[in-house]
Amino acid sequence: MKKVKISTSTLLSYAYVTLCCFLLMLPFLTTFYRSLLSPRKGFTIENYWKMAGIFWPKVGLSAYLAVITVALDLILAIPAAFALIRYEFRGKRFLTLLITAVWYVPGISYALAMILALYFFFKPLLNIGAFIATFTCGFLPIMLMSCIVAFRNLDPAYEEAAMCLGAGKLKTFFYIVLPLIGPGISTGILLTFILAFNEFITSFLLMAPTGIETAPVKVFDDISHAGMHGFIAAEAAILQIMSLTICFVYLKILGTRYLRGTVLF
Amino acid sequence: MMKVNIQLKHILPYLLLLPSLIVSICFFLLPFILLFIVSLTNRASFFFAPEWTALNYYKAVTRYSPDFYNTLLLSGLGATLDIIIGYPFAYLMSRRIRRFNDAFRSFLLIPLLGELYIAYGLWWLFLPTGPLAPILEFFGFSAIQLLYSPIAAAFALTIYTFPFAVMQMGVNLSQIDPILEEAAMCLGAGTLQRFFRVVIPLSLPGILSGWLMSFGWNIGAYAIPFLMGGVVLGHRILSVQIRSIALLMMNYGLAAALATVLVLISSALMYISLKITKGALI
Repeated sequence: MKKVKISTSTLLSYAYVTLCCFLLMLPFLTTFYRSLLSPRKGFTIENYWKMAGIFWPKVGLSAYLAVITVALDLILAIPAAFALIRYEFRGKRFLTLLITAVWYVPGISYALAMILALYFFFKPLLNIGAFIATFTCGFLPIMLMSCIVAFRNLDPAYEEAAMCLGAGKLKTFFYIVLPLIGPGISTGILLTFILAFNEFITSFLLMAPTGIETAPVKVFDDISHAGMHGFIAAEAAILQIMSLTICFVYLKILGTRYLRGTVLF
Repeated sequence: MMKVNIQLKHILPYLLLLPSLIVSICFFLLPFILLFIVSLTNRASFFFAPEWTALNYYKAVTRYSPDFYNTLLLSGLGATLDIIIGYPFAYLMSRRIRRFNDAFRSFLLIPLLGELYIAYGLWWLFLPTGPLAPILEFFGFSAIQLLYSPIAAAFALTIYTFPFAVMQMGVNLSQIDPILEEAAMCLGAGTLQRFFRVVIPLSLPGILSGWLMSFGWNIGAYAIPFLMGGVVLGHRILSVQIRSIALLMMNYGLAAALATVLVLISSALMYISLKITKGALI
C-alpha cells in the first residue's frame, strides 16, 4: 500500500517537471511546426527554400560577431577570474560589481547609452566595432562567472605540485591550469556564443547608427513588415535549431555539471 | 630585490584585472554617466548647445506614467506567474527528481536564446488562425481577446524569465537543510503541513529574491510586449517608448531620462535579490 502511494507522488512530480519543460519548449515547437506548414500543400519544407537570399549572410555575420565576442571575452575573463579567486586585495567587491553590473542592466538602456557614447567618444567604432564592443562588454560577466566557477573547482594542490617539480609560473599556467579549467571555461564559451549569436535588443538599437543588421534583427524586421509568413517561421526556426544543436552537443559531452552556479542552480 | 617582489605581488591582481576594467569603464561606466548627463538636457540639444533642464524627469513621471504602470503591471504579472509555476519546479528538482535531473535542468537553457523567439512562437499560438484558437473557442474564449491581453504577454514573460526565478529559488532551497523536514516528519507533520509550515516559510527569502530577479529582467523586455501586448498595452511600454522617442522622435533627453529610471529600478531590484540569496556568485 505504502509503495503505491510513493510511486504516485513521484509520478506526479515527474509529470509536473515534464510539463514545465514542455512549456519552455513550447515557443520553439510552435515556430518549428509553423515553418513546416504551407497554405496549399500541408506539410512541406518549401518555407526553408523560400527564405530570403540575404538571410544567410546575416547568419554568417551573427556567427562571426559571436566568435569574436567569445575570443575577446576569453582573453579578458581568464586573468580577471584568476585574480579574483587567488588573491585578496582592496576594493575586490567593488571591482567585481563594476565588471558584472552590466549583466543586470536592461538591454534597451544599455544600447541607448552605448549609442550616445559611440557618438561622443568612440566615433571610429561606428561600424561593426560597435557590435563587438557592446557584446564584449555586455557578455563579459557571464564569461567571468563561468571562469570563476572553473577556478573555484580547481585544487591549488596541482599547481603546487607542478611548482615543486620545477615548473615556472607561466609553464604551470599553460600546462596545468588551462587544461584543468578547460571544461569549466567551455561553459562560458557556450553561453557567450549562444547569447551573442541570438542577441536582439542591443543589435536592434545599434542598427540605427551603424546600418548593420544581424540575423535576429532581420527576423524581427520581417515580422513587423510581413507579419505571419512561413518563411519567417523558417528563419526563426533555423536560428533556434542552430543554437539548440550547439547546446545539445555541449550537454551530451559535458552535462550540466559546469553550468551550475552560472545560469542553472 | 625582495621589496620589488612584494610590491609586484600587491599589484599583480590589479594588473590581471586591468583589461576587463578598461573595457568595463569605457563601454559600461562611461556610457551610463553620459546617459545621465544627456537626460538632463532638453531634446537633442546636447549634440549642439546643451540646454540644461530637469523637465525630462517631470515628463517621465507625469505624461509617461501610463507606460510605467503598464511596464510594472506586465512585469509583476510575469514575475508572479514565475513564482507560482517555478517554485514547485525548483522544489521538485532539488528534493524529488533523481533520475534525468540533468536532462530536465538543461531545458532551462532554452529561454536564454532570447525573448524574440518566445514572442514569435507564442504569438502564432494565440493567433485566431493558430492551433490554440479552436480549443479556446470550445471553452468560450475568443482567441484575439486573449492574444492582446496582459495575460498572454505575462505568460510569455513567464517563460522568458523562468530560469532566473528558478535559479534564485533553487539556490535558496539547496541551502535549507533537508533534516529540518525530516524532523517535522518525525514530530508527526503530514506532507502538506510539512510543506506549508516548514518548507515555504524557510524558503520565503528565495521566493522574494526570485520574484525580484524575474521582475528586474521582465522590465527590459521589448519583443514580447511589442508582439503580444497589443497596441494599447504593449506599445505603451517603457522599452518600446525609449526606442521610438530616441530613434524616431530624436528626443534624446527624454529617452535618456526614461532609460535612466529603468536602469535604476531594475538594478535596485536585482541588487536586493542578489543580497537576499547570498548563494549567488555576485
